[in-house]
Amino acid sequence: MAIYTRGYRDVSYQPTSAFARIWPIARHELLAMFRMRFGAILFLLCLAPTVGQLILLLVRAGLWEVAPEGRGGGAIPFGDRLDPASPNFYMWPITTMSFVPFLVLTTLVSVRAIAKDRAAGALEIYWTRAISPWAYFVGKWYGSFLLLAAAFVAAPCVLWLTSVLLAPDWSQLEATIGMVPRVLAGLAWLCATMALLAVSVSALAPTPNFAAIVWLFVVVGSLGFGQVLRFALRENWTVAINPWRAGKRVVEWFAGFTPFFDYSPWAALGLVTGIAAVLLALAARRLRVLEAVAS
Amino acid sequence: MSVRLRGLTIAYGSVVAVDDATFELPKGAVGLLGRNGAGKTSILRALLGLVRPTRGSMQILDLPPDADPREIRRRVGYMPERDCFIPGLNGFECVALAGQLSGMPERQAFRRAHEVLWLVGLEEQRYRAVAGYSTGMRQKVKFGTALVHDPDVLFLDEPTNGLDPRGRVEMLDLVQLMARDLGKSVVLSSHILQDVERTCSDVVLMEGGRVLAAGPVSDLTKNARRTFHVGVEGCDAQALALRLRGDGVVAASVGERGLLQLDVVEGFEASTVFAAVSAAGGVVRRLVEHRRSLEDVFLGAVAAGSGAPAAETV
Amino acid sequence: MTATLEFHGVSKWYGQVSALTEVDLCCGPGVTGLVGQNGAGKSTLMKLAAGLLNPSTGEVSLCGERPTRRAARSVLGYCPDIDRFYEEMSGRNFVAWMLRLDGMTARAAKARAGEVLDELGLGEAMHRRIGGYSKGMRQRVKLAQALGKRPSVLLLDEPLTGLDPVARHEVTQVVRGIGQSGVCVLVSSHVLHELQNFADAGVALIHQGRLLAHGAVAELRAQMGERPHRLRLRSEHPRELASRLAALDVVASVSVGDDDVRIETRAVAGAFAELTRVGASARGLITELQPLDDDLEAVFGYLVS
Repeated sequence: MAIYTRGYRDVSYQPTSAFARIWPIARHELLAMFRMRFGAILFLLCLAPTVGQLILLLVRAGLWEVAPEGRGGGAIPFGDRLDPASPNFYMWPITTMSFVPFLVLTTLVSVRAIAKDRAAGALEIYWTRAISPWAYFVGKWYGSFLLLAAAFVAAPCVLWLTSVLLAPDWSQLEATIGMVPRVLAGLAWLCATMALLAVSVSALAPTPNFAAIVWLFVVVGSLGFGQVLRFALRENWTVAINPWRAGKRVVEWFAGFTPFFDYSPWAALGLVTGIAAVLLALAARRLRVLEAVAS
Repeated sequence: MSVRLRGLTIAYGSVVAVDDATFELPKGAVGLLGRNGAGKTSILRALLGLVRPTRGSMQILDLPPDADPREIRRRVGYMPERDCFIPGLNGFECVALAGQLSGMPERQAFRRAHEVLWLVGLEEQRYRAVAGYSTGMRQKVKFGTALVHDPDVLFLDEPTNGLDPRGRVEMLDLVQLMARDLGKSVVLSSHILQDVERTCSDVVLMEGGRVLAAGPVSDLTKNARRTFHVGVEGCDAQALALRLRGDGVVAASVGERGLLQLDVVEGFEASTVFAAVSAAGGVVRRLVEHRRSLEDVFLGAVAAGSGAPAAETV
Repeated sequence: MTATLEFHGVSKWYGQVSALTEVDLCCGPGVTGLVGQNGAGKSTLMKLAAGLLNPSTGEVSLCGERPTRRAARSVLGYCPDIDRFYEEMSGRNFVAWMLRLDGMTARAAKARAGEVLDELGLGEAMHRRIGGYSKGMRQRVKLAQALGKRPSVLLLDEPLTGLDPVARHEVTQVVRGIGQSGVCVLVSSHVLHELQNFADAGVALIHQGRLLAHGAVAELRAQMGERPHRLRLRSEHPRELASRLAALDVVASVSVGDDDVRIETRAVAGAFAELTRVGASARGLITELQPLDDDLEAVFGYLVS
């Protein structure tokens, strides 16, 4: 027999590695979207282009009877974009159709990630824990990368696997196995880079709303500015001033496509890497530990 | 010894925030006192490994002087003064996440977060969003956050700020529990000197970046001249004052609120007062040696240290 | 006309929620402390006195006037607990501007603002912008705008929050001086020790919307005779002292420390008589005798528990 008290108990544990401490931050960031009211619904809406392709796939596989003559034949008006045997079937809904979903996800989550902590004074909590500013930054980046990748890598991946499983034989797999993994790898790179840009902007801004406005201004503004430059300079590469455009060009090159605006992928890669490097350097300055603790 | 500073100097550019600070903090609760801008925050920052001292050395616990700041922060818990919470979390998540950031594995952090929240008395409200908490509950969450990774040293910056009387007593009880019963070192920074007097055995007084005084409260508040205040009932205080002179009592007078003031020297015996009152047919209601309050010590030290009168008289 | 603030049977409900119930309180000249937990109704009481709210029932009077009337505004100084200013204004311009709102001419307001800020020790700082002030200075600017029109009744809501010890001391001295000059001052604070030191005209205790007590701390404690009194006795021979005290029937409980003995008693007069006898009987048996619960904190604790 014993009487147990609920007094203070010591705790003993093996400290986790610096790497493992990144994960709680990333998970918290990933879940930020779904903590929001209507967050889950918004996320599903962001999957709309991929879901459209999925419906098309089901129709073509004959699982959905749309119209008797629609099955299995006729010319496809949009070229290879709507042909499940083409890698473009998996890339196009993201690189071309998902600009708005990309804006929604980054504006609601990635670009607020650090700015909201700064506004709430929460940086003081992080800095006074056994964690370095870099681990904090990487955690925030990793969380928003996972969110973007869930929408723009995992979803097309599911689409592809579905198409493989729906095909009557292995022909679909044989036709796509060479290219689709490269498309997915390219998309993963795109998500990682965009998350890096957004989180860096977030580190610079004083409040989350300010960060969101700057981000929208940069991403949407550079879209128009790139077009203006293209007319002025008669150079295609200028559209790559927009990071999403530049990223798209790199993914297309990586997956072996010839895009509508043809220009050197190296120019695109160089531009987007340069922008990322500059932002990252500024973010590093802004995340110095001292700044966070109130005087 | 929990913390030892030797000639610690911290300068931000040309601004010297801490100038040649030397003191040792013993185990138990220690008050860190000073006006705003006296250098308290800079010392806390240095002890947390957030700034590198310009000169001098410091040692925390048994850690080597060149210890990784992250290792220091794993052994130290810090409760910030201002409200700072990671947005969008409930009380439990807040404390658990802080534990994980300090290097606790997830399961340990979760278990510990529940325990700590029970200890600070937030068991009922732990699943509610922190954004909806009252000031008292916020202070308790901050305290829990500082305690979750079982640190050996706790830095508490204004823990009673904005609390109502009951909240203050609860917070001070927690501080005492830490320092007395659990053997942790607590560094308490507070503007409310009675809170420090009540919980701390030692204090460090700072002003303008320099340490004005450091040592046990009882030493600092000791008077050079011993004075006793005696409250009597049922006999004439004035007559008593006359009778008590001699026997170690150099001067006796009746002060405010009818209290008898006895200035005494070696050889004074309290029993003679009891005997005299008893003989006069009265009773003693109070017989207390007058000690300076920490406020007197503080105001005096600040006035001496800055060369200006501590309190402007209006 | 003496400075008074009176509440007669005042109740206040917000919708169904009752914030104050049947408060009868008369404050005269001097500093009266207002004590209570968060949510006890202190702010409501202050706002009723300042005329920012109308009582649901009962009457409030400021020097005989209803606080919501314009005549009452000229006798009232109000210092709210919020800390918001026009940060770009200088201290003097801010105070002068507030005084002009009370009907002073620009020139008179400016002169008076300079005068009152000087009195409060902001003589040099008053031309700098408020944004650069320390907390103590900001608190004094708030005090200055309330004092500028020479009010008969002054309401101070948490004037010490966030101040460092030196600023606390200064503000306390200022407020005490104002009270001694014949102004009726009502101060709320959570720090009971401090309040006890400068609330010369007594304290008012409210809890859950009810006024529990009003008066000087010592008198309030004396009225609660049935409550056990705790005494601390320092001794060179604590064990011997404890055993002698335990034998007395006026002593309810005894606990021994390293150099002291703590006792509890319900018959406090008898206990003092016995202790005087014990103290006289041997050297070093009782070296100090200290009542532990005759302060505001103990009174407050007893009343709200």
